[in-house]
Amino acid sequence: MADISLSRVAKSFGRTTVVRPLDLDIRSGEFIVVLGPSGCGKSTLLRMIAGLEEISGGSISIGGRVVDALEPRERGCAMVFQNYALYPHMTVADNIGYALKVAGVGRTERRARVEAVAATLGLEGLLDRRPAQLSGGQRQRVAMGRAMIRSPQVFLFDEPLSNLDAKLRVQMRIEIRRLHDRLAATSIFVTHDQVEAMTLADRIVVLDAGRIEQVGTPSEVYHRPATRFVAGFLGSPPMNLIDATVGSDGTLEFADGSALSVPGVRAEPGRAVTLGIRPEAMAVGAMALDRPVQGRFALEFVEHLGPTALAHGRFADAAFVAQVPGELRTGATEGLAFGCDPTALHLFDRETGRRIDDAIAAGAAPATTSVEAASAEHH
Amino acid sequence: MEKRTTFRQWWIGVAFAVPQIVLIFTFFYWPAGQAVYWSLTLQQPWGGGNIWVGFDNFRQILSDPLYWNSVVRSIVFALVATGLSMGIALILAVFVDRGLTGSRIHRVVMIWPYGIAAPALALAFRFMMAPEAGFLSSLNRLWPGLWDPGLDGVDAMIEVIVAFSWKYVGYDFVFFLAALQGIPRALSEAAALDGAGWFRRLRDVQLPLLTPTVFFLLVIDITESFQDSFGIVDIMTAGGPARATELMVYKVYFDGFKGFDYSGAAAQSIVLMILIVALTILQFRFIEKRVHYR
Repeated sequence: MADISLSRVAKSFGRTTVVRPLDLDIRSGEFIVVLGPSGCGKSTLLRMIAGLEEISGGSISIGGRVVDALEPRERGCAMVFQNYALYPHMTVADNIGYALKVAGVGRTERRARVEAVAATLGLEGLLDRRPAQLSGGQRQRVAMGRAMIRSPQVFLFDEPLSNLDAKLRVQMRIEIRRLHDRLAATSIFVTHDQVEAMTLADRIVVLDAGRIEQVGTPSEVYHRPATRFVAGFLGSPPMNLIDATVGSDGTLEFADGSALSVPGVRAEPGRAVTLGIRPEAMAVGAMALDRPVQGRFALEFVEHLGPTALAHGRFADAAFVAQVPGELRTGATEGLAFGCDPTALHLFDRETGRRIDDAIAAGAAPATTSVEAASAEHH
Repeated sequence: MEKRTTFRQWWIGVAFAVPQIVLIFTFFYWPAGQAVYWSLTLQQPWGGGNIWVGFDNFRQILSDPLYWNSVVRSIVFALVATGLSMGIALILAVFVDRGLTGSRIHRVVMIWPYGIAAPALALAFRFMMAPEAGFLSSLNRLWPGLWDPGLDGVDAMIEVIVAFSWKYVGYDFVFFLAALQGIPRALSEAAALDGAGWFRRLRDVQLPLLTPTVFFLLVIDITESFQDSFGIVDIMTAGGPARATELMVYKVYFDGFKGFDYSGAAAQSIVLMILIVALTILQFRFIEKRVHYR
C-alpha cells in the first residue's frame, strides 16, 4: 500500500520531449489506468515510476519516499510486461520464485510461497514447465505470479493484455481487477484500449502527446470529457465533433449556414466552439420529435451491429454518426431527424480545445475533475 | 505450398550444384583421400614409386613418445587458448553491451585482429615478446631471466597462446555481442525489478541465454586452435624450445617437409582429422543437448 506522487515529472530523449512536466497524485490502493494513443508517452511514464527510465525533471515519490535516485529493486514496484518477459531457461516455479531467490529466501519457504501464488492463479499443474510450453494466457498468469510473489506495494502493468486473443483478454481483465481488489496494492495499468480503461479503472488518466488531458473516474471521463481530445478518444463509435459558432438567440451556427437551436446555451455569442454529441445519446426518427434539441442529417448508409445499428451520414457538412435501433433499414430522402437533451451536448473552445463548463443550462451533472482541478488539489 | 524451389528438368538443379561440388572435391575430398592413401604406403621423398605398408605408419607414430608429446601440447594449447579468448571476449562484449562510451567504435575495431594473417601477427608478437628488447623485457630487468621464451618451454607456450587468443578474441567478441544484443531487454528489466543487480542479472539471465553461442564458439575455437595455430608457431617458436610448442599441426609440417617423412606426416594429419571430427561429434552429441531450452 503506497501513495504515489508525481510532481513536474518530465522525460525527453535528446531533443524529443516524450513526457511534458506533469503532476499526478495516486491514492494508496487505487487502480489507475493510463490511457492514450500509441506514442503518447504512457509506457515511458510507467517505466519512470518503475525506475527503468531516468526522469529528466521533477520528482516521483512512492509511499512518501522520494525514489528518483533509487534502483528499480529499491522502489517496491512489480511490473507485468507487454510480452511477459518470462525467463525462457527457467521453469514456471523458478520464474515466479526468482525475486525470492535473489532476496535470499530459503528453498523450502520459497517453494511454499510459489505454490501459494500458483494456487491463486490456477497454475498448480504447470510449475515444472518452461515458458515455451505454455499458452498465452498461462504465460500471462506466470508474469502476474512473478509480480505478486513479493507482495509489492505497487503493481505496474504495461499493456499486459495486448498479446491475448479477444476472449482471453476479457477473462484476464476480470482476473486482474479481482486480484487488485484482493491484494489492495496500488495499481497502474497502461493501455490504449478504452474498454480496458473503462472497466478496470478507479480513475483514468488520459494522456496525449506527453500531456495529461484529463484525470477522472470512467464516468467523468465519458460523460464530461475535459478536452476535445478526450471527447474524441473515448467512446466507440467516437463522439461527433463539429465546428460551430455560438449564435445570438440560443443557437449554434455552422459553417455551411445551417443552425441548431439549443435552449439554454450560455456561451457568449460569436465564440468559436466545437460541438460534441455522442452517437448513443441521440434519438432518431419519430422518437426525436419530443426532444428539446432537434436536427436533421443526411443519411448515407447504415451499419447493422445486431441489437443496434449505426447510421452514418453528414450534418453541417461534417461526418456524423448516430446509434439507432437495429431495425432501421434506410432513411428518407429528406434526411433523418435526430434529437437529444441539451445536457447531451458538449461544447469545447475551438482555440484551446478545453471544455466550456456550464455552457448549457441544465439539471445537476456529475462533478468533473479537470486538469486544473487535479493540480490545484496537489498544491 | 512447397518452400523449396523445384525444377522441371532434373539437370538444372544438378548444374547449380556442380561448381560447389567441384570446389569441395578438388580442395577437400581429393587431398584428404590422397592423404589417406599416403598414410597407408611408404612414399619415397623424391617421388617415383611407393610401397604398401598397411597401418605401419600409424603404429610407428602412436608408439613414438615425441608424437604423444605433441598431442598433449596441442590439447593444452587448445583448452587454454579457447578459454582465454572466450573469457576475454565475453567480458569485453558485456561491457560494450552495457553501452559504455565508444562502444560503436569497439565493435568495428575488435574484429580487425581476426582479419590479420597468423604469420603477420606472430611476427608482431615476436617483437613484443622478445626477452631482450620487447615490452616484456622490463620483467627481465627486475628479475633477470624470468621471461625467456627462447629457453623456457612454458614461456614459449604462453607466448603462442597469447598470440593465438589475441586473434580469436575479436572473432568471439562479435558473436557474443550479437548474442547479448539479441536477448530481449525486457528480460533484464524484469530481473532488475525482481531485485537483481547487474552482476546477478548477467549471471542468472544473460549468461544462460548465451549457451548456444558459447557452444558454437567452443566448437569453432577448439577446431581452429588445432589448425590455425600453425602460422603462429612457425614464426614465433618453430616448435621450440626442445619441442615445447610442437603442436600436432606443426609436427605434420615439420616431419613431412623438413624430415621428408611424407607417409608419417600423412598418418599424423589423418589422426588430427579424426581427432577434430571426433571432438565435433562429441560436442554436438553431448553438449548441445543441454543448451537448447526453447
